[in-house]
Amino acid sequence: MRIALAEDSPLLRAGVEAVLGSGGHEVVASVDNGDSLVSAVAATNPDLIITDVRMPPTNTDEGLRAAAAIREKFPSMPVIVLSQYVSVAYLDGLIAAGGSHLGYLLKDRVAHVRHFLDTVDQVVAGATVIDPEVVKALMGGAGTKGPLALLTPREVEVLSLMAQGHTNSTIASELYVSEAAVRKHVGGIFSKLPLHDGEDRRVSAVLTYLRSASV
Amino acid sequence: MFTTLGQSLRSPRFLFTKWPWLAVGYLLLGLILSWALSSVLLVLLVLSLIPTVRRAIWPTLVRLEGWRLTLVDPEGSAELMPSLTAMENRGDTPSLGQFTHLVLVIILYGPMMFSTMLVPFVTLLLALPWWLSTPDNTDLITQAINTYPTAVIVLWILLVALLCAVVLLYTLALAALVTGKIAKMLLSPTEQQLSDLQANVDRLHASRSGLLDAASVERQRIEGALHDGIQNQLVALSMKLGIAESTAADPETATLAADAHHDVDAVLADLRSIIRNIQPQSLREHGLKAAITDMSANMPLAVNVSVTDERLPRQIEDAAFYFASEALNNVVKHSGATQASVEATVTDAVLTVTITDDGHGGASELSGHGLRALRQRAEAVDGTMTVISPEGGPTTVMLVCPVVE
Repeated sequence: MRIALAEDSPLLRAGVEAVLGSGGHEVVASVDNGDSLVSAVAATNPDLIITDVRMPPTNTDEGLRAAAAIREKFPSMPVIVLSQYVSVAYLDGLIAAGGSHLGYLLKDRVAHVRHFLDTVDQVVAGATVIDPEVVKALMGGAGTKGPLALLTPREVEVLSLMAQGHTNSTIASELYVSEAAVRKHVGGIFSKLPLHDGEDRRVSAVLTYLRSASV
Repeated sequence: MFTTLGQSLRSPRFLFTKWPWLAVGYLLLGLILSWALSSVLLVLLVLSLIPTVRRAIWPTLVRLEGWRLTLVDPEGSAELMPSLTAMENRGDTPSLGQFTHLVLVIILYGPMMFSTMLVPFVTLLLALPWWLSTPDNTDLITQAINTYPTAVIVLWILLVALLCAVVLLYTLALAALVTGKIAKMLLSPTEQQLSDLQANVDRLHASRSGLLDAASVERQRIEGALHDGIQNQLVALSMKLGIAESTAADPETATLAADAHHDVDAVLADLRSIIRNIQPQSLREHGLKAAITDMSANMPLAVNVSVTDERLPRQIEDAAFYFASEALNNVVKHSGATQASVEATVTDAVLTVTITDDGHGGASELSGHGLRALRQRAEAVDGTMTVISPEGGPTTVMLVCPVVE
């Protein structure tokens, strides 16, 4: 897979490149700010973008703005946003830039190589994968408002695990239930939430969850 | 029932209230002061030529006099005390009026009180012969003595004593009232003193604000150093270990790398929580709502967050965030709660932050519970803290502060 990377710390840029390399991926562009990322993507047309949030010159949310600008031109360009800390505050901007083909993770997660490489595959395949820390922050206010009020507590729990990129089988082992039981919950979630046609139902459900929980 | 001596004096029930006794206490304290200082007044005046002595003695005496006034005029005294205490703390020279009052009290109180107490006795003594000498009364008394001599004499003595006491109490109360009024007038700070104090308050306000800003900037610097330096290096280290773990040829090396990786993850989690406590990034960049939501996610209990989206001045956001964060830490440490909520609203430029938990209650500032630190946080931004915590819960801790730059 051909990947464009934006990260301002040379140390971490080398680290992420090495992790991706160990998975057999090729880093076709490696830059240290948002503007360079936008032009690098136009030049190399990669399969996936991985970008830091805080980069020069303003050290606020360059990465997010670059990702949004790229998605405007290439709406289904897969993007993984890495951050030194995760905040629910970034979520609105991320979802606004299109919710599928999206990952939002702590930088530490990159070091869990196998898991991270799985996430890369999932995001490129169209999934939405949100860091467990963000999901935990959302859980506090979730379940009471909007369409989520229709779900049972167990279904909300299953949905939050889906948001973290879990498959039915890993959800089953996480919750100590059978995979059939998880499939039943997932079916319940799909039937209760107002999902959009033509969109992956799983992604659509996760986005509904993120939107109603982050309001 | 009555809030001042003056009010109660006009009531027919005056003698059955606490006020006559407070008036007596007021005069007695003055008498003690006069008695203690009149003999050394000259020495005091001479010593006052030395500035340190002057500053040590007179403002304190002025404040003492302000305090004595509580006994007969609580409202007037309450009005005076803040500025008198401030002046004592600063060692301000008393105004001419205040100085006059002190000297008057010291010199005149003793003799004046003595003569005041004599008034009813002298009056009665003078009135008695005149009263007895009127013809009707002479007859009455002659008859009475003839019939029940002893009883009547006793009755007389009692009657006179009672009358004396009543007249005495009224006289003393009146004296206390008048001296109290004079004291209030003389002790009141002058325009000059008030404007000095106001200037001082303004200066302190400015320097406090500067300190809060400096503290915030310093926190941001430390956060930046940890974040861009150590945290980056640790993440890079954990990536190397991650690669080693997944590519190691022999299982022993892989296990070792996995263990080391696990340890680095733990250090990173600690570091992240330290950074969060020093200065959460989301507070500066996104404001209260994001910072409190992120912080609540790391609490070991369910926290419902309902916080305004508004961006507020830096000092206010800081104060509100640390107030909420410390209050939640208190909840975790002391309340035994399973659920908590944080609410923050801004109405008419007033910020209200409310933290509620379903724990066992009974929190009080006296028993610790970290509430004093919260009060200081509140007071640093001219705010107030309110705690409602009945035994058995629930507990509500509230910060109310003005939203000003």
